[in-house]
Amino acid sequence: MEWALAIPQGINLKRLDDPWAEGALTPVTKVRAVMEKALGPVRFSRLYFGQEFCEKALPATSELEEALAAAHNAGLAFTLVTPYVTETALARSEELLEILVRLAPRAEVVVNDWGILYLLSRKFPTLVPVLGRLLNKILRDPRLSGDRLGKGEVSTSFQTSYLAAPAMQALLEDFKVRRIELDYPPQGLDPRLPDWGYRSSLYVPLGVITTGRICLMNAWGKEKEDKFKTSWQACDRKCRFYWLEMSDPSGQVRKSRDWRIVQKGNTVFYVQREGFLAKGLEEAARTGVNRIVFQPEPI
Amino acid sequence: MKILAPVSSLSEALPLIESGARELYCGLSPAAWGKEHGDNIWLNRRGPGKANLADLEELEDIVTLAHRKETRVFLTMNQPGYVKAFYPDLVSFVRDTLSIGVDALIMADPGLIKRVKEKEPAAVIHVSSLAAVLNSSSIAFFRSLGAQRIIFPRYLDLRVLRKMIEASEGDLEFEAFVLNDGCVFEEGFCHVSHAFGGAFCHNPAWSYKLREISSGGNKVSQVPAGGESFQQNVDEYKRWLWLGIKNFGGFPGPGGYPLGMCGLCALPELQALGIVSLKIVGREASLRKKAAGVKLVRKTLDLLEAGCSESELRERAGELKGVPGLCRSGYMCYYR
Repeated sequence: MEWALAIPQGINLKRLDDPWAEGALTPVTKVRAVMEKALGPVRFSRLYFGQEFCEKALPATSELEEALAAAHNAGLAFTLVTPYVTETALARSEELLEILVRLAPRAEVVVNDWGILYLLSRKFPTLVPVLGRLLNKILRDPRLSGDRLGKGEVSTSFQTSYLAAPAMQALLEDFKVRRIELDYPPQGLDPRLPDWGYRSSLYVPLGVITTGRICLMNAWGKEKEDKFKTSWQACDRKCRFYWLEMSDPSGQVRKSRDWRIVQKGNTVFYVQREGFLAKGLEEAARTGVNRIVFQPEPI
Repeated sequence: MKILAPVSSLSEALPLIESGARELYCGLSPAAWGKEHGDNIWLNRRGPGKANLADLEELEDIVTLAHRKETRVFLTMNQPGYVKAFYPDLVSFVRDTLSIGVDALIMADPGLIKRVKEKEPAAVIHVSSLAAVLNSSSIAFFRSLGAQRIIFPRYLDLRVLRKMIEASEGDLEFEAFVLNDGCVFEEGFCHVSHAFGGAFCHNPAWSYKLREISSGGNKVSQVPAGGESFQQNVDEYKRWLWLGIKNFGGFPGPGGYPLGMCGLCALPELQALGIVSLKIVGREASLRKKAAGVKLVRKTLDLLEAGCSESELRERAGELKGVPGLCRSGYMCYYR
């Protein structure tokens, strides 16, 4: 198993010196214990730098250079993680890719936007595209359990992905995508994952429920007329200082022993508890997942 | 710019066309699909029931009627991704719908678009907002698959839209949202299903506990200037949910027109950008609401075509909606 350490931004690069420092969202020591019990000693050989969710949190070019140097010094392979972007951040993304291709021409790039994949194929053909988990449309709905899952074929329909359809396999082949990324969903991994035709990576311990350009945290402290807007707004990145524990007293989304629901910045996650995490790792090993991305902080 | 209205039964088609719609979109939920795949797996983003037509015969009747009235009909197959097991049914479904004259298919799944264009090269594909086309490179990606129209996701700033369109090839059509229904998150990246108890995101019951991030045992919080507490921010968020996302609870304004998300004030800019189609959301809504929405957009377009200035149009659109205070809040605006 290949182990990747995910670090969202430059100020978090100190985690390279101490990967097991406790995180705000992640009980790192417990997660480590579960990972090592399931899969043996964890030795990171790859750095995932960047994040998938917010164009306003794209790294500066200097941060990327710093991350590349840090990965090199630590003897780690390098993967740049990119978010979905509006036109506003497309040019900045391209700048980052220009630096990356100059300094590490065969580095990986995780794409979570069809436009970034297209850009890679047209302008940066030596960089290696990885299809990010936001472009893998498997449901990750905390309400999807019990009776709703059904049995047999119905259950399988929720476990498999459109990525396993021949038309999508052919399309991704055209774009030289060989690796796809996954969350461990409430309904479990597809037992037929090896037949999808890709190498696959699993993120732990946070799964993505939903993400968007309107940010509750960004709105905090703004005048009413400036709240809940999308592009062109400055962001003071309060997500560096706060996160939100979510609960639903109406019971539409029930409390679970398998996860807790949190929001960081513009994205809602389920943080997997130990039993569920262990189950996911066991299934990952069984279904041929060959990379675990340990992501203690998502943004 | 044409008005694109949702239709969910034959009886709605003529009133919507007579109200001013020149394009209609609909979904189909054939009984055979539900029988084969279960109630929780939908052919499009709306479940069986009043949002969808029941069968191909009704769709054919709508197409025939609409074409007689020089109105085009588009069909939603807009799930973000369809799994392999559905493909045989989907491909045959596409053939059936094209054979009865459906003018375009609304799709988000790049694999399905590729397959449909291979099997039915003449099929016209509109890329759904579910595909999250947020930049010009993404437009180019879907154009390379053979798409003819891009439906922009909600809340793309007008300046962003301008840049996207300017950076794109000139042979594509563009469609923008104009009325009803918001999404809190980016619908193309929302990994939950309305099938499991409705929208996950705008449940007003969600409770948030603010947690500060500690660093080496020290809190590193940064309270915003101005003194707003986080709970006040959440309270305001819930007000925004009610007004914009949940359409003021579905209640109409004093003139009978729908409240909720709206882009009427942006019509001059949307026209200048070359947007060809204005989408009214809400296949599951009543005919009364749909028709009122079409009439509201038509009246505003009439003002624009009569030469109203931008500021005058803004004022008159606000008067038509009948809730100037809410309009001023900006919480009902797709484009602000």
